[in-house]
Amino acid sequence: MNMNSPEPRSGFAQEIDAVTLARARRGDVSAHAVIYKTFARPCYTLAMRVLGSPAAAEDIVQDVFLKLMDAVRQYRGDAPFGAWLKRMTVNAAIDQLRSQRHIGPDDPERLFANAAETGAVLAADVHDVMALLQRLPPRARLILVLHELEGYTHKELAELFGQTESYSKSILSRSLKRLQEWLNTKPDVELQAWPSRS
Amino acid sequence: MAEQELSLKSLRLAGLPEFDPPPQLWARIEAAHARRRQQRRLTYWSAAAGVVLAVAGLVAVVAPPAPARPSALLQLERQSQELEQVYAGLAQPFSPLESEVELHAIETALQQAYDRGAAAEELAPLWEQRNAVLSSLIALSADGAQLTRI
Repeated sequence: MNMNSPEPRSGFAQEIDAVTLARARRGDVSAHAVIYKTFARPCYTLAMRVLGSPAAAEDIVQDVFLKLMDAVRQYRGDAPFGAWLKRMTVNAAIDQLRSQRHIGPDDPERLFANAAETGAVLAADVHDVMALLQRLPPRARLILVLHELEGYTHKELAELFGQTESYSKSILSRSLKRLQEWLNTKPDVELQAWPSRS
Repeated sequence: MAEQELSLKSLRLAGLPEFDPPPQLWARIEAAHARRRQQRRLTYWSAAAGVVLAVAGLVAVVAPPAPARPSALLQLERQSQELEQVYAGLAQPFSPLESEVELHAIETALQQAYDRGAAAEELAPLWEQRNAVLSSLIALSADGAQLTRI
């Protein structure tokens, strides 16, 4: 992960104190609860952005935290705790997309073929940034979210997908271009960031 | 806008909403964790019990079956142990050389008989001999007399 990039918005940059971490390693459920309280929101937000479904995002958070309760014993602090947890969340999201065969083909042309058929953005969608994002193919959405919002570099994305850096650059470029095209269909509409919601 | 300049920020999409998980999610995770721990514990103890049973079964198959000991033989063994304890507990045990040699010879014969898996019919007379020698030694020690056996 590129540690020189600006602090991610999702809150994975938060830290866990050493005492809580030590208690969590010993299997203390109250320490697990502290970690959950700190990171549940960024974890759920990342899953929502990638998967677009509350039920799927809840499954991801549950999987990640259940895994964390065991894996925290092996956490040695080589990477910041939030970065470690983010990686677990991303891997869980990719696994879920793969298991549902939603990850899409490797070929960028084929990846965007279906997205092209969705046509112009509906008026209601234009106001909903999330809905706009969900119009992208899952793999493209994942790359866009990880690069633009979570600070992943193209090198890291290439490793994550087993592809070259130019591959993720190409997917990202196409994704942004597609978003711009959809936005241009309603140039008079001012996009507003949505407030946080449960 | 040039393609390379595109970003979520330039598209004014950087302010994506953040989401809070439903409040009951942690309770579900805790419950799932507790169920998983219980299941692991059950699996562990089942596996441990399985290993114990497997080892017991293996021992039963590999090890030769212990010969059934008639109660008469057990009685002789027990009697012999009691006499041995009494004799060992004497303040001044009477222990002539020939009796020690005889006792040693009986014990050697007993050991050899057990080593070859001898039957109770062969073992019982040897235990009787041992008991007789021990009884004699105890009696003589009590009397302070000399052992005389024909």
